[in-house]
Amino acid sequence: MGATPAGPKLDPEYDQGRDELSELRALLLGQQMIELQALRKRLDDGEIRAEEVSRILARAVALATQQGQGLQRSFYPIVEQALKISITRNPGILATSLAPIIGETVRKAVANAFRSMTESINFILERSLSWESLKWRFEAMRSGRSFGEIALLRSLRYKVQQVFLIQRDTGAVLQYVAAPGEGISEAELASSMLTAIGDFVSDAFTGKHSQDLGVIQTDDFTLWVHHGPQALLAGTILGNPPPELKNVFVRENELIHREFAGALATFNGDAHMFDGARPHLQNCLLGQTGRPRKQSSRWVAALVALVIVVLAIGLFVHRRNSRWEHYLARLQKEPGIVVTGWDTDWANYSVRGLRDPLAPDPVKLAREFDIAPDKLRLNLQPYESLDNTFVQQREFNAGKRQLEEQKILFPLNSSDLRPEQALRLDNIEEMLNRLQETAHRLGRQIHLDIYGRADQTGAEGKNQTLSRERAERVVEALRERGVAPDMMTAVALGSSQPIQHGSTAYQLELNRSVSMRVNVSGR
Amino acid sequence: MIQKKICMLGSFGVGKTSLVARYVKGIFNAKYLTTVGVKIDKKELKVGDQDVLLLLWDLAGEDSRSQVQTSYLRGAAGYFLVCDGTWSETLLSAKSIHKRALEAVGDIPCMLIVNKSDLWNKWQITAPELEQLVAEGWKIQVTSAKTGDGVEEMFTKLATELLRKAPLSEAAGES
Repeated sequence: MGATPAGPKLDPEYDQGRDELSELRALLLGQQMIELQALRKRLDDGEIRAEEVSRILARAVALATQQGQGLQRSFYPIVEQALKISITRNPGILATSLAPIIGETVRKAVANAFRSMTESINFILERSLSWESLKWRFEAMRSGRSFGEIALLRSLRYKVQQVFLIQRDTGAVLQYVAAPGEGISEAELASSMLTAIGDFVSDAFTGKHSQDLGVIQTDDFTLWVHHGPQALLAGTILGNPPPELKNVFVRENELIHREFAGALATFNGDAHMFDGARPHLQNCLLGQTGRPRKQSSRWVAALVALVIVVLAIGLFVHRRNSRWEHYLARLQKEPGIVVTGWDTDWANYSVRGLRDPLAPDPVKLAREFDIAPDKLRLNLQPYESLDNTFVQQREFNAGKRQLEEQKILFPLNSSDLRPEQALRLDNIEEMLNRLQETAHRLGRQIHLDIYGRADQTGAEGKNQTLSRERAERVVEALRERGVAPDMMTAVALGSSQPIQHGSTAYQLELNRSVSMRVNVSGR
Repeated sequence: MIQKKICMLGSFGVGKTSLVARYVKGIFNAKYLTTVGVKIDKKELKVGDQDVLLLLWDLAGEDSRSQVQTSYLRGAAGYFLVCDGTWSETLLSAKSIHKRALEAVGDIPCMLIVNKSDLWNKWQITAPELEQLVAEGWKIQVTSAKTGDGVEEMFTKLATELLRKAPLSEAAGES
């Protein structure tokens, strides 16, 4: 109507007609015109429209929400963008709002992490020693799957019997599966009771509703509950479930929450909506039983055998060490032996030190302690001990040697003592006295064998007689000098055992003689 | 099949457990009531052509020492407030429990059960009192756990009320 041609006013009649038309229009449509103008103003004026929309916006949104999820979907990118902008501009606002709940969330997460870490450590400790775990590791390496996955697959120590999907608030069973041959007829009651017990525990013991019941354990049966925001996934398990199994429950519950978000939010008692969740529950029905008992008994047997072997080795080593220590102690106590160092390895023993030749033989001593002589390496330097026994022993030995070196010589074909030989007998008697004293101090007795000899000339029969006469002559002479006759025995050697073989004058003379051997008895 | 959680509330000794026992045979021992504070039974029934499974949470009775744990009410679709007709204090107590239940779970269907109708001549709660309550908007059912009077009705009525109040959503259209 406002599209009047902008030409020059050529015709006054036209103008007049136009006025009349306007008049007529005002007459016919007066009120509506005013209203129309007001309406146009409302539509054109942004301010007014904004004010009007603001009055009905809340109701409109509420209505739209009731009708479906369209509005949420359209708002979603805007809200996300707005949130992003808000966080970029002023992170403080979000931080302040989150602060009161973040502590609780973090605490829970940390506690969960710790719990599963402890479980994993226990599990790994338990498994790391087994042959089976090595096999699994190998299989994991070969197949490129994780060790945990293989362990879960191959672990035969547990069996998930039943899995419940439970609505969190009502305790209603949304879905229920059981392994073949397992299961109960009253799943609804069990699930409600479980929810009730969960409530009971949080009310009675913690006073906080946020505390979720995670595990109920009896001797041979475990109930695991994974708490989702809307629904719980609970499983009854026989045996020892591996920690990896928990991840399966968590994963499946998360998937259920994602796929059935709408149904969970609007649940009004009809569980049919959750029939599609059945495969997720069936994914949790893992494990087998039967072999574990056998396996564990085999392990126990192996462990017992190992303990026995370790004990036996321990006992053997202990006895070996104790024998060795006793032997060393004995050596160190022994006069005439000084131990300056020792060593043992798996096979041999070795001792370093000093030994008086008069001291007992360490090899013989070793036999007393069941130590094989061929395992013993002795590096003992000879020395003279100043121990009194050894001093006297040496004195005795010297006296004995001296005595046995003495020879009383006789003229050819005679058993008469020449005067200078009688003098020698005086010396011999003195030596004998000293030797006897020393022997006494050492607690020994001595006895003299007095050997008479003849030279190799002449007949043996005559020589035999001659040698006996010579020996008896010396016995007689010594008896005269006060030597007890019962400590002497005359022995006739004839010419059979000459002191020197040969026929020079000197050699023959040496063989016409009497010599002595000192026999020692006693200690 | 629609599952509905129903709670039995009321003072100690008014006959909650007997009412449930009259109605249903459960699997849990009554010991649960004293230990955990709740015993759960179930009952299937038909409302119109809709199958309904009622999960009956029988909560331990309230006395001077212990109050009903309202956390057990969480997720309930409705509840019964049970009192003993021969004992007027139990009605007061039911009213106070009702108040707490309202705070805990909001305005969900509930029904006042006046039990022990078999002892009618000993009743302390009078007919005018009950009429007054009906006028206030209470739904009331008089029962006897002993004879079974009114027991079926109380459960059927509440179940019907529940379905009326919360019709199936479109998504759950078929049953």
